[in-house]
Amino acid sequence: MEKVLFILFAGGAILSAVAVILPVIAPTPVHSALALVVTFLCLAGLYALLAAHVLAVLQVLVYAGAIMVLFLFVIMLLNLGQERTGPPRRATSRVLTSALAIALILLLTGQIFGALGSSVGFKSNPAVTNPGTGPDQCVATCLTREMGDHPRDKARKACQEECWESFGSLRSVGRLLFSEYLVPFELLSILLLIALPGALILAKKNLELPGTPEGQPSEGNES
Amino acid sequence: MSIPISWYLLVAMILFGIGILAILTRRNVIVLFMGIELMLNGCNLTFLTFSRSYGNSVGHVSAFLVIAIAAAEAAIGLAITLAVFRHKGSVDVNEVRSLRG
Amino acid sequence: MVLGSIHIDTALVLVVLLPLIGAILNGLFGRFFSRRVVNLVAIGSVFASFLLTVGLFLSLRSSPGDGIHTISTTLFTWIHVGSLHIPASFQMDQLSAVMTLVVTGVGFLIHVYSTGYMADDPGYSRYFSYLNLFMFSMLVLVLGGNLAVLFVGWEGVGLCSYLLIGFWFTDEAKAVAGQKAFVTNRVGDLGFLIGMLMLLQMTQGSLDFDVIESSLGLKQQDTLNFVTLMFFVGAIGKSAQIPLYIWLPDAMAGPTPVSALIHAATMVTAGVYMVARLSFMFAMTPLTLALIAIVGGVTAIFAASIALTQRDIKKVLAYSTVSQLGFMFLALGVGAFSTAIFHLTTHAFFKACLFLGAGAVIHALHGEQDGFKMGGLKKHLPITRWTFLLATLAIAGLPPLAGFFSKDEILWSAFSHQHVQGYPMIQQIALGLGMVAALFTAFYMMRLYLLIFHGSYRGDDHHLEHLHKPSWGMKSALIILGALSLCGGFMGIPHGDLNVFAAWLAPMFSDTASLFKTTQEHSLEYVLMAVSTGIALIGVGIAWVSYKDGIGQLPKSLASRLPRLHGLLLDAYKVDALVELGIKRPFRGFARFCHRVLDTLLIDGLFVTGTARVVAGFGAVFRRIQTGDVQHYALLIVLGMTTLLYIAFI
Repeated sequence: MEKVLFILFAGGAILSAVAVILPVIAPTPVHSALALVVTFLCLAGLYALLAAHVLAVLQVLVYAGAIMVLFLFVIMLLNLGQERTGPPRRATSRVLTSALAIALILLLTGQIFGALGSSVGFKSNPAVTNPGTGPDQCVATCLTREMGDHPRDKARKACQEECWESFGSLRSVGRLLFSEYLVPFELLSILLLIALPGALILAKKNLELPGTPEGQPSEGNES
Repeated sequence: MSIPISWYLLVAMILFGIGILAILTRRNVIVLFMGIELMLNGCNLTFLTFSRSYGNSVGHVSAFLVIAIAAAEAAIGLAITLAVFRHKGSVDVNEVRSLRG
Repeated sequence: MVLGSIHIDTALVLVVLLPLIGAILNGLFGRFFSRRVVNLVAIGSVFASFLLTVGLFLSLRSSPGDGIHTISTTLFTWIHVGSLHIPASFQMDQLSAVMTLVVTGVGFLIHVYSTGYMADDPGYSRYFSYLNLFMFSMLVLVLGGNLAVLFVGWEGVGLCSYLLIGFWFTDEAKAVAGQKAFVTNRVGDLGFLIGMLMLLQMTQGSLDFDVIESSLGLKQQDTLNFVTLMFFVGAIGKSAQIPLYIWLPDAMAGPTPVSALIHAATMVTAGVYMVARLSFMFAMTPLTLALIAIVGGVTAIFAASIALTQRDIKKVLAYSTVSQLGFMFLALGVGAFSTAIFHLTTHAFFKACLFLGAGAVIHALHGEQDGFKMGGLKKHLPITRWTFLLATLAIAGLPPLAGFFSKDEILWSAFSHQHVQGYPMIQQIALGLGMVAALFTAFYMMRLYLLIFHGSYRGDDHHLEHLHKPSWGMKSALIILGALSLCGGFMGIPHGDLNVFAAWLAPMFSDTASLFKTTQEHSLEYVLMAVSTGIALIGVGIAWVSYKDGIGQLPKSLASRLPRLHGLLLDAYKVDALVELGIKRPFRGFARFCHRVLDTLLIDGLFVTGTARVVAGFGAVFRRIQTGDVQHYALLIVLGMTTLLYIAFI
């Protein structure tokens, strides 16, 4: 069952990602944006499969919900139509760079699967392939442990729930965020605070700086 | 875990690679940003995969931070795109060349 | 003996420093002084030096014992670096006492003379400032307690010679003459420096004369030969021997008193003094001594032959000086050091007198220097005439005047004095050269006298009508020097106890006396005296016959029959042209090459502009990375990232 879900989500993510960049499938930016939304949703599914529940929800809320909406807003603001075709002005061709990028991907992928005989290939690294102290182990211990007088199902169920609560849930992530990773968390809030007026000013139409005369009407006000 | 993590990593890798392709190939700035988001998501997937395999939630925290930063970056980037569009009249990345040496 | 209330050491220092103070005062403030004050400062300082010298001399004379008596004092430590120790010290012994007396005495007379000669010159105070500066330098040279201080004076007199020769520097020819003197001197100074540095290495850090003397003992003969040769090169430059004499005739461009002081009595004798001072070293190298004798003798004849035909009266005297210096070096070369100093002294007397007399004539005739345009001036300038005659007879070597005794002693030394390891042939050659040169000397000096003072006047009548008689200052200097030319020789009569001069200097050269031997019977000396007198008389006689009524038949017919020889002598063997072609032109060409190729092309073009171009070229190449295209930059980032990952994880 899991495998089916995985293939579904993974395939969906990859296919829609390809759709984002291929001008054949997505001629306008709007098409690309919608394809990207599909990618994000599929990714959220993958996150859920990885028992990262809170992040799956966040992915949908923030990425697909906020960021992509922002993208769409901007696209509509700029009123972009078809991407201008025609010969690119730079010297290197698209084919060349594409080939280069694909070669890079293959190279790194090969690294992952140890195809190049690297000693750091994942196949030979036991610590990674073993699940370790993940929730599965916890569940396994729950099932094998003696629960005493309580009815087996209930205790085991509670134990299992406890296990799943300790990993990937809001509680565990929140606990980490507010203890070990408090400083990055706070800095993040400051970053967002800075980004807010920054984006405001950058996107302003007529920027009146103190001391300068009335701001000139900016060009490019066409539709 | 029935699904070996190498599969997840492969997917992440492919997404990352597609993101790179998008950056290097497309001329529209908006699509460029989308490529960046793709790359970030690939990284997120990697983080979460390893988090699951190591069994603690540190990767979740990193992914959380990445999402927040991506949001801020997307906001600023699109604001800049707006400003550039007002000046140049197009969002073609080849038009923005005034820093040519 | 304490001179009044002045301590001896202070007196010695004052002798040197008083002229310096005079030079500074006149140099800085001379413009604001009146003539009287300038005279007072300048002449007063030299006269005071002279008096102090006399006092020091008497004090030395009354010192007990037979050895070298020295008054020495050190002002301060000049150089002290590691083992190198050179104090600024002065010393007076018998040798430098003689020299100092000559320098200050004759110098004083010339200062007095100059008040009359330079009376109309606008640069009056500058002249006396330079003259005092010269006196200071010469005294530093003569009274130097070690070789380094001597060298300071050596260079100082070279500088003052340049300043004074080119005194009327607005005339380019005169300025060039000054430059020529300095540069030629410099060539010789290179030899001096090399010798000095080698001695420094031998003594390992000191240049005091006694230290040098004691460290010479076990050195190799070749090294010693080289060192003395180098010092002799320095002497050649300073004392105008062949081949570095070329500056002296040109130096006549300066005022005549300057020629009298510097190029007759004092500066050119510095080389002779230096060799005498280092006699202990030269005595150990008979090869160099032989060379010195030959060079001296050849120079004597060479210069005398040129003087035979010259028309400019100062040029005659200049070549005469070169010739007489040759005589002095001849004496040094055969080991007769005190004889050389004796001739130096008598030469100072009569040559200064001759120059001052010539100066009086030139001054009287408003600048006329061509002897062929003079004549019959004995009626108009009597005192000048008689003193000039006395000095002429002295230089010709007629007894009992000064020059006779000194020149005769030189010839006698050449005949009889020999180094124990010497070259006997040198004696004969030297004697022969000396005698021929003496003959020439007698002839051309008499010729000069007759051309100026006898016969009928051949020049511009206008000059004769407005004759500028010499002032009393000029006349008194002439008289004193004439008198010295007359009786100055008596202190060196070669007869045992009567030779006070040699006796005075004997302790200085007693170490070296053992290295020389007398090869002839002493009675032959009187024979030689008669012979040299005869030579002098012959020379004078021929001149008398040829020139007593103006330019006579004999010289004219000789000149017309041997035009090429006459022209060659008149042009001084065309040496200057040779120097121009052989030395100056290649140098100028080399300088031009350095400028055009090395400087402009190589250093400027290659290193300076070339470096800039290389940098700009690199920049132009690397600039191409900045395409301005975002996607290019992104590509580079991706490439870099991949490389890093590869390197980090492989």
